[in-house]
Amino acid sequence: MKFHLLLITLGCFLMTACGVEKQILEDVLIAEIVGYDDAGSNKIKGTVVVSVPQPGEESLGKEVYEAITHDVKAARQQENAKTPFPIVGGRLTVILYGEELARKGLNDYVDTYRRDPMVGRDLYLAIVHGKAEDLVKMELKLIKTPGVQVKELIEQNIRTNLPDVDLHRYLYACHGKGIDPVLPLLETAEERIRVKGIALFKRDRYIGKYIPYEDGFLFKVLSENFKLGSYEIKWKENEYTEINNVESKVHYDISNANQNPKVRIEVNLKANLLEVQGYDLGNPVDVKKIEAKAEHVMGEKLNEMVTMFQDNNIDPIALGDMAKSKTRDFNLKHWEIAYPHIPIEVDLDIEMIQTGIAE
Amino acid sequence: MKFFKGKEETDATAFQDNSKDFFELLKRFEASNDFLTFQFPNEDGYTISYFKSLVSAQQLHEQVLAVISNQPKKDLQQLKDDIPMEDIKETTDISVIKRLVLAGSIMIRYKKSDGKCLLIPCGQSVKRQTSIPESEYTVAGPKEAFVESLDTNLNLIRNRLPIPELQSKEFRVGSISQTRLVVLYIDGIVNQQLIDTVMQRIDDIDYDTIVDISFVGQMITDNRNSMFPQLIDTERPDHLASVLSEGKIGIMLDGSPHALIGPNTIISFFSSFEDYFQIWNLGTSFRLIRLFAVLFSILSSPLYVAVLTYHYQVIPTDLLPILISSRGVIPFPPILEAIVLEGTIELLREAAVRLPAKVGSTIGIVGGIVIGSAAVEAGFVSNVLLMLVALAALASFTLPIYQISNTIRLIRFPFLFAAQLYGLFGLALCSAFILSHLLKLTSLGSPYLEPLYPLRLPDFKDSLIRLPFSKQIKRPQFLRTEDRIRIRKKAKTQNSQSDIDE
Repeated sequence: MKFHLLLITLGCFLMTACGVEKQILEDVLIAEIVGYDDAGSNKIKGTVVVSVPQPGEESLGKEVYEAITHDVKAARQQENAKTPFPIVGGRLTVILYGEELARKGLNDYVDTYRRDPMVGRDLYLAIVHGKAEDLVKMELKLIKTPGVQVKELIEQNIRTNLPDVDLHRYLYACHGKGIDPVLPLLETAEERIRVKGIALFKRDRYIGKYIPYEDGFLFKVLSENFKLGSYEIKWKENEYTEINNVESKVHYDISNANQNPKVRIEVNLKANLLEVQGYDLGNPVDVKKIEAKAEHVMGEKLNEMVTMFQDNNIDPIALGDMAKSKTRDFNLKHWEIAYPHIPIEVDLDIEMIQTGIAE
Repeated sequence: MKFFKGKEETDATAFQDNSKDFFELLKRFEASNDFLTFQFPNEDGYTISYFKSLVSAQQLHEQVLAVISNQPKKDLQQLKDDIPMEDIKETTDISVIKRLVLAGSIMIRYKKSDGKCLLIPCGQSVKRQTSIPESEYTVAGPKEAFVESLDTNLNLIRNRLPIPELQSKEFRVGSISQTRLVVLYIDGIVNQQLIDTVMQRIDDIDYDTIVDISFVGQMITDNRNSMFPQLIDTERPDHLASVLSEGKIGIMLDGSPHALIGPNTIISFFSSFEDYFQIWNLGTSFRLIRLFAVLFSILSSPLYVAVLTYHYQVIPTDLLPILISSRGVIPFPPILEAIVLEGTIELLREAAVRLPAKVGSTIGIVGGIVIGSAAVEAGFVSNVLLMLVALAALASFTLPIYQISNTIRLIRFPFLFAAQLYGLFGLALCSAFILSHLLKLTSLGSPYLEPLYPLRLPDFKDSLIRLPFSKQIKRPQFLRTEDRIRIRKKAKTQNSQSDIDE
């Protein structure tokens, strides 16, 4: 008994040193969104928005801090010099990178977040067309805090037009073999934040090209199975049809990956017609016609997109990754050399399952 | 500690030694003013002595004095036959005399100098009528509760279990109080080893006055230092009757309106007897809600402290502004805030229990509304915590057994301190300590966490969930009953669906 008491007392005394660092909620400044821009001569400019509690009010004020340094953590250190409380990154929702910085490669500036245990799972990365700083500093109308606004914006679009992108997927794509990452490309337009498209990467470098927002649906169709989203098919001038995705499935057929690779991408799209101009939907023949024509128009676009990837020698659909997982003794070197010239065939099958009352 | 114990023992033996001699005893009785001794019917008549505070005057007049005054003086043996009362004793045994006179018997001697006397039981005790159960009140079900009289209580049980197998073993406990204690069980169902354990523990009770059954409960439990009660204290005769037939043991004490039930598992403390009055799916749901309420009650304010002090990362984005703005004006760290508020609630509870019911409701209003809103407005505590603590208090009131609700009340303080020291890790650490304590705990020798540990799947039928009566074919395994089967007519359940409907 005495021995136990001794142990407990000793434990109490000795374990006081084991405590974690206290971070009382109102005594830290919680960073919501942070933007990094190229500041010339190997320096970056970090801009961070923190929420500041307004005593007695339900909403939070926001405060912007800036610093120009060589690396990310030093930027935070410099920002701390100006704040009454330490800035903490545990609730960061979005990290933005300016276009210029992204062209130089993001690895150095993502690394610290990759290894920070405080950073959560649902952290989004995005590229800003122009300067990230401008977007971070924007005064928004709908939702006051830009962190929440951008996060909701990306999440909302991930369901329809953007591929699933967060920190971990980016890291997987960036460091994996036979796969290149993509990130949402945002821009500021008339006091609003807008998704401009999908920024294309080679490893961690933004190649300066992007898939426009309207075609994001097509890219999503190519890269994953999903259930929402809509696409406007252009027949000719002033004649459009809007289709709504009910269920889209993609299957990759990669043969002979080690010698003479051949890729066939099968896309099955079940859709309903939202808006039609120039057709009579009561006529089943017309529906078949629309299907055939849509397959043709969209198929062409998909093929164009894939060819564009090959021309730029990037692989955002992760065909290499797929081939690696399906092929015994996969020869990555051979694949990488062969990739730009592989015949890739996109086989699109559209089935209009609903033409009646639209939404 | 040892010093006091020794002193107590010598006192008790001295008390017994003194009454060796009959006249010595009489002298001691006469020292009290309510002990009467007189000659009846005349100077040469019998010597009658009794405690007038213990004897029923009506019985004395009608059945004793009336008989004596009409007859010539006979010897005691004959007188015994004349008096129409049961269980009259003629004895010279001092210990018997002492006990019976103090229980309200009339002592009649032939001559004043005689040592031999006739003892006529003529006691009266003030009794309360059976009333509605208060701490275990249920909307449905019987509304009878035990009272202070042991015989009434036994009567309530015997009426519910009219079988000869229901046996009661009587003991006297307390060296001064000599209180009657009864162990109740159903022979043929209950495990014999269990009875032996209980009887032995009761024999070992060594204390001067046993006033209430809770004294006994504290003296015979397995772990006397555990915060967790191991014996259920019930005031419902229907509850006692039903667990007796399950194979448990009941203990009742004269003068205490409660019965002890054992052995129990921790889950039986969370199950109200009302669960059985409702259909099984409702009963199960309410039982689960109660379990959730207990967890919430223990963990809510410690979680608040842990998250606000260490883990701002886990707060949902939408909740963040609300929390920050309500915390922003408060000068204390979360732990002090929580302790202030929990302390206030404990004060309120303690005050409400001590005060009479009419003043109690005022305390509720003063405490709940005035202090609560004033504390928030003054910026002492945050809205969110006030809500959490109030909810936690409310949740702890859902517990049907009073003893465990006290445990729950107190147990959140170690959790609070652990949360302050190490955050969520501290909570895990504290839970581990409590869980290991519970794992080790036994109730009259059977494991406390059964059926969770040791895992006994059949016993789940009446623990976390309550299955319908048709599924309760066997008695609980942990009781190790001699007769395991509860429902014997198995074939009948097959077509119980078809009533006579032709």
